[in-house]
Amino acid sequence: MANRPHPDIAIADTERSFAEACVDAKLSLFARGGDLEEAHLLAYHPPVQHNPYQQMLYASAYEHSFACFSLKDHAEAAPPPVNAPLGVHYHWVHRVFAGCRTRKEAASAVQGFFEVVDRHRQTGIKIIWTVHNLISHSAAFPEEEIELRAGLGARADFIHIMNPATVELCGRYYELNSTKTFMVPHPSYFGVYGDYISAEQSRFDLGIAPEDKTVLLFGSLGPHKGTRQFLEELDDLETKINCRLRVLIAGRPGDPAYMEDIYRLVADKPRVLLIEHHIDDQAVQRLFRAADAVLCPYDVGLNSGVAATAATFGRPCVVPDILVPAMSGANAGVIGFNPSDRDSLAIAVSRALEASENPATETALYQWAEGHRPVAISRLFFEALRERW
Amino acid sequence: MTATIKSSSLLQSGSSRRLKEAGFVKISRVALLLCRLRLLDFALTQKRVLTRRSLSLLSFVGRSQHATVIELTVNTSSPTTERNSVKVVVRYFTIFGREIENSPANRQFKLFADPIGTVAPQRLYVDPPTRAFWSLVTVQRQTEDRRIGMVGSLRLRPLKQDEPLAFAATLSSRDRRSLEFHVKQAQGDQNRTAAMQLLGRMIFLERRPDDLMNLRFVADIDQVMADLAAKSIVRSGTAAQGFVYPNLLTTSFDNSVPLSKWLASEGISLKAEVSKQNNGISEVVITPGMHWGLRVLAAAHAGYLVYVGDERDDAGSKQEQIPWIKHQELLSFISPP
Repeated sequence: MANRPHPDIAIADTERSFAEACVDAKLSLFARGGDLEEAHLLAYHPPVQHNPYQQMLYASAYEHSFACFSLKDHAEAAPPPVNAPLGVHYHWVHRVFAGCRTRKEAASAVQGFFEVVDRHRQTGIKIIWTVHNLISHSAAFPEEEIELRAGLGARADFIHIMNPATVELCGRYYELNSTKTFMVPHPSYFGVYGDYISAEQSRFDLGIAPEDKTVLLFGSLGPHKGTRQFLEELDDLETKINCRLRVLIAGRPGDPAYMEDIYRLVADKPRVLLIEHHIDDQAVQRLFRAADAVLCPYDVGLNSGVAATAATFGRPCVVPDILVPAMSGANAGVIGFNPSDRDSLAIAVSRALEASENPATETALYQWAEGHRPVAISRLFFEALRERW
Repeated sequence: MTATIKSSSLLQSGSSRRLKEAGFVKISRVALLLCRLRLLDFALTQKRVLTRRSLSLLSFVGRSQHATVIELTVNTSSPTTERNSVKVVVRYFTIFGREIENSPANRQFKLFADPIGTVAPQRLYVDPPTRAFWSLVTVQRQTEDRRIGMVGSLRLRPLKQDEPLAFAATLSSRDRRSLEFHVKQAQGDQNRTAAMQLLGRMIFLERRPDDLMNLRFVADIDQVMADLAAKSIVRSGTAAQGFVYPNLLTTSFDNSVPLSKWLASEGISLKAEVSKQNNGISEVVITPGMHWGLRVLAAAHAGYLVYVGDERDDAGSKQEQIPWIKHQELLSFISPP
């Protein structure tokens, strides 16, 4: 009976054993009246805190006779004590390296991970992997992480991708077998975050004048988010677009050394508001509603929850070019830039601010968000999974 | 703001006075310095008022690797007992002063503080790891607005092999060792009532997840048995039209799933099998063999009228171990046909 830390969003019985979770899954599927022959169990790993993605993706599980539950330690998974097939669904696999201090430790962690996955496969457990990134944003052991991803890709039965260019983009680092992949886009956050505060109220609360052009950089603060470079180039960017910006930067602080850089860069920029903590689900709306546009000035990216959140609040978003196909259908409000061409960022910001003034942009983004609401995307996910399983 | 400060100061001074009247004294500057150097067992002989900053004692663990104990009495100027008023952290070091990390024996304890006049020493049981040569015991007051006093040694002392407290005394004690001892006894005796009382006390004291889990499992089994007793649906003899249930249909029961859930899961499979034979069947016949007790429980839990033949003396049944359930107790539910 392993003690599991409390999954923040998935308030759940965190103390129950894997076996009990399987039995609970069977009982709940049976109580729903479904055909038990159709029942499937999906144990996901690692469960994440402060990110509703997994709950969103599994929102329609029961409609498809799937019961999903978190797995703190993926080695816990075993043939279930009930007559239902089990899959282990991997997400942010770079967490394998948590606690590793050297490359040797990282390589050992990869081997340990593969041993568990191989054991699962030998016992008939299906392996599913959602590719969230090409390589993790803050990869400390890039070579080992590439080995991890290549190995998991080879072992996985089904690979869920959210960007149609995933196979091609990942191919720069590791191979994904396209016959295993299925494309289901990132859901919007429609109905997920609180959404009742007006833009005017939000701007008023944050002390933003109605005429201020405001951009938001949202999410945990780390080198991969491009915030430092953006702040370094902010004056140039404002010159290029001929507009003074109010900048909101909000998210959980990262590495102390990196944060020192951020503190230094914002110190002489009174128009930059730095909110360095996790933003509560009810407070997210205030930041997105207050902004005219949302910026994701990342060096690299495959999918973006921030871009999906921006669309949910009807705000245009600037993203790296490779991320644009992942937001297919929201093209009017999703503006790409080439991370190696900084002029293109200025052009994209300018276009995003222009788009924010066009009511059609907001309407188009709302339509995208509604079409990509979590339950709808979840249905696509389980339909695709069931087809292949 | 001023009023708040004043009332807080008054509270502090009142709290202080009550402790002083009870014989608690402040630690002198010299003693405090020695405490900071971790050399003084500050509350060994005198009742001491705890400072806001933590106090520690570095002491020799010795070669004895047996269980050791720290015994402390904590008092508060509050008229009621205060939970988590003092935190005690025990850390271990090798002979060369290197900390032994991640040892399960590294423990934190949160102590109750009782009203002045209550003498209730709290025993903290610790098992130093094999390589431990030094122990560092740190005491930290957890409350801001109450003055806390303490008496007792921070030195780890070998645990005398004394008898645990009697059962009745244990139920009102804070002695973890006695509580665990009696839980073990209750488990051996398959005495669920006693176990639930003891676990309830342990949960009240510490709310440890493993205690909560154990109580949940025992209480669940107790409820299953109470339901079975109330239904009176297990009969001796056989039913000609009954469904014969010779083996478990899912995996065997183990301690990682509450019994009621396992029974419900097995019951679903049983109902599916029964309906394959005939949907109208309401009787299940339990044949001798493996998992006799579990099959009886599963069939009864699923709501069938259960016939057990004359298997009261079946050797296989007697050997079956279902945690917290005596075979005799199961037999007692069998009524004549």
